[in-house]
Amino acid sequence: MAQMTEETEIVVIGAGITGITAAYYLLKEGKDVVVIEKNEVASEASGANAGFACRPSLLNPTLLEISKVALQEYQHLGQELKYDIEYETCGFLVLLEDRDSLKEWTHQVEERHKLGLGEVGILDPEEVHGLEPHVVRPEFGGYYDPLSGHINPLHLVPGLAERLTELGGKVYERTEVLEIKTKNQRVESVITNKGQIKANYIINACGAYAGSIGRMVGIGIPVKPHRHHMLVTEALPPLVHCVVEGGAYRQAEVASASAAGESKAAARTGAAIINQQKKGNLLLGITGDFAGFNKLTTFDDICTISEMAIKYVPLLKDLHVSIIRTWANHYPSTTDYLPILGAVGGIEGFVIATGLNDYGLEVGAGIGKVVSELVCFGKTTIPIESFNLSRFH
Amino acid sequence: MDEELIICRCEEITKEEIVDAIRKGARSISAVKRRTGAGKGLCQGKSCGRLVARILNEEIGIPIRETIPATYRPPIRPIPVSDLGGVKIDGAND
Repeated sequence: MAQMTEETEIVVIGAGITGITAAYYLLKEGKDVVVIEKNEVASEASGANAGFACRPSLLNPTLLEISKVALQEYQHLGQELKYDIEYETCGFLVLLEDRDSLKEWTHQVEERHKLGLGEVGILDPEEVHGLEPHVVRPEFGGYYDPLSGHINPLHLVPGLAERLTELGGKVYERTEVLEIKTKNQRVESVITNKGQIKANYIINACGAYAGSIGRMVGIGIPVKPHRHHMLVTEALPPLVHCVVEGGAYRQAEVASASAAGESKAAARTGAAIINQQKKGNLLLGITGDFAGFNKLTTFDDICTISEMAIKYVPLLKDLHVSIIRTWANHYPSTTDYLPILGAVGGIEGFVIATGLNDYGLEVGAGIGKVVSELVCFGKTTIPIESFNLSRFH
Repeated sequence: MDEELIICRCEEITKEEIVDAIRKGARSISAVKRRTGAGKGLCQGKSCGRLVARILNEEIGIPIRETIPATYRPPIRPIPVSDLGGVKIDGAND
């Protein structure tokens, strides 16, 4: 590509789930949009995740509302794209192994019912066993959300990027932002290694890397890369139906550890997460830690996850199931485990959309939709003020 | 005939699918892997990685030795989950 100078209405930085869906909805509203991506479409967390399209475990009404929109959108998008996005509402099951977990999730169910998520409930141990006969029977039953499920993010995000191009949008890969120019407290243009693009709006959808873009306009965006490990087994006949979670997975603890200075040991979390992909491979997870921008996997994490998986699905041992691949990624983690979303005081036209922690896909298309509303109409159907950057100051 | 050639034997991905991914913008082995699934099977791209590099070269002229390899992470060969669970070594990798 020759050095370009072009003009558009909106530049979206970052071709992950947030940036691509925001661009898609903006385009549908008749806007002129350019997406720029320093690497390739879905090459960070949006392409390296478990594909869970569940309702977030965090009891936040706004987040749950956005997630509802996202999951509805995935139904539509599945029909619009050329790819099978493999969206399936296989259900989300939390194994309740002690009285405290039962109490906590019973409370969650009551609160979720109030928010209109009437389909979630508590199953007794027998019902859990009926649903997941190969999973160790939990003493106190399970929390079950039948409308949660999974999706193939590597069909969804690049598929949407392709659709964007067909609709007249532009996606520039391997294009890195070097500088953002402002004039009279308004964004003016983006300078990249491939040239300059003038725009009225700039959307920072760079996930864990959003901080470096924020610095270009002189603002601090408190997102940190949180490394998550996952393992993939060889393909197997149907073994597990739901997205199954067992063991303590307390994101709030990560948040407080991170707030308290993110000592690596304190910020290490883990839970057995087990799900089976369409092709039959099992996804096993998850351990999380703060390791900077290091994406390599460690022997220690691989062993921890293997141990958890065998504990909950002992058949993995009997069947001599093998791990074929491991991966780690960077989730954009925030200290309060909530997104950073919206306009920034003093810089007209600069919009932030990051901090989706480990629930990016669960809310992604909803976040994209809300961001597109904000840019097009200056207001959103779901109020997002509580997610503004200003809460940190 | 050539187009139907299986490049990734583990996941049964054909040359046609690889070429299609490159024409849609894939410029690296990782990008081809993300778009097609080539290299995600039992052998984790040990043979198809080299073939994909060659196709990238044929299609868009990226020199084979300049092709960025996919990120390699353990395990090198499939390892049973049961061999890994319970062998935690304190301090390994930290």
